[in-house]
Amino acid sequence: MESKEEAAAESGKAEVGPEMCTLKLIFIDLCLRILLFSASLTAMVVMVTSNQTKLVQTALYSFPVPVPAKFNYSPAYIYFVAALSFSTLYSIISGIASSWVIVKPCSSKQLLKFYVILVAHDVLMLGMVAAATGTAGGVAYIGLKGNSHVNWNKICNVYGKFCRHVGASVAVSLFASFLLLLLVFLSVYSVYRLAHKVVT
Amino acid sequence: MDGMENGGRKDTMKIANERKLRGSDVLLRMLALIATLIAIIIVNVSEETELVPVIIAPGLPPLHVPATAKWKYSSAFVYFLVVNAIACAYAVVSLILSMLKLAGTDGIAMVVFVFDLIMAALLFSGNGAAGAMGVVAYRGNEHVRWEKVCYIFEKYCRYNTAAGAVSLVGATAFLVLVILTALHLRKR
Repeated sequence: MESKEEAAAESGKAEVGPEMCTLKLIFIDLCLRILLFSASLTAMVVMVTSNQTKLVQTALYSFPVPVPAKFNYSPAYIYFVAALSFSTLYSIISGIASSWVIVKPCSSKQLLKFYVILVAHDVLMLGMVAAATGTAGGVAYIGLKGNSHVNWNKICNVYGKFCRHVGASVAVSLFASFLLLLLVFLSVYSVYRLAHKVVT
Repeated sequence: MDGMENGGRKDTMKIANERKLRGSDVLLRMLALIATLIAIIIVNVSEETELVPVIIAPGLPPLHVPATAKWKYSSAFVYFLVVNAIACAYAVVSLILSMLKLAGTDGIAMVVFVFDLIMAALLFSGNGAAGAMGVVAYRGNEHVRWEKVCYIFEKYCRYNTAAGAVSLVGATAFLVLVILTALHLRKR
């Protein structure tokens, strides 16, 4: 890793000074973005593949009929999938932007501008993914426990696989929002480093 | 070199400390404080008791039974309330810190920034959970036979929608605070 950084710094004709440290920070940033990409993609795929069909006794017929459970039956899960696919797309775009900075080092002023833009977008994505996690978690909790006060029955005793998929996907999206939190913190820390020109 | 740089930084720090009280910072924190406080109050007073017709036997006329809607009955609203309470308490603390110009020192500024970020994330997730419950209560879900409840508890639903909207304002305030911190750090 050390040699790779040096090679990158040398190949890009980096300026002397805080570039080395910044490069390390950008490298961590890029790793977190790749992790974010895989996490949000996993959460999305697990949610989309959660459909399950079961034979359920309904009031309409005297015999059990197959009733499917799908994510797109609930608006909360639709929002979840939309938000996480957007987060996947965003992680690709911002990852390309980050690697562009590694490949072509620019002046620290430009870098500062880049970081501030990055922070603004990262925070927006954090809000979106956190809201999606809360939304899906809220509905999944009712599916798991039910709500006796308003007569909403639990469904997880019937649709086992569906609930497992939803639970796993909510957990992974929680991880993704944690990653976004780290990313924002890292970017702001880089801004702080660059603005103060601390050399280590 | 090292010592010189340290000394230089100290000087700039002193100057930065003097013009530390940022109006936008204090305003946004106040906005977040007021918004989360209003959300808490609205959720707390949203309790409603209504007579619900219950059919006991097919032949008999429906029996009217009083039913209460409360935030305590839904775990999503409990979460929403707890998150708003935490954010409100934090807004008070951070407001005091920035009023006393204590947030000028770098260590505290970083801690405040991290907590701003966490509060924004928590508030957004709380809003998401409450919003999801609101949608299910408003429209119901035929696929799993969750009946809508908003046509019975109209006041309860109206109040909680308002609480969600106000809390979203608080969440946005924290979000803007984070972006402003980054902008401010850049200028220094």
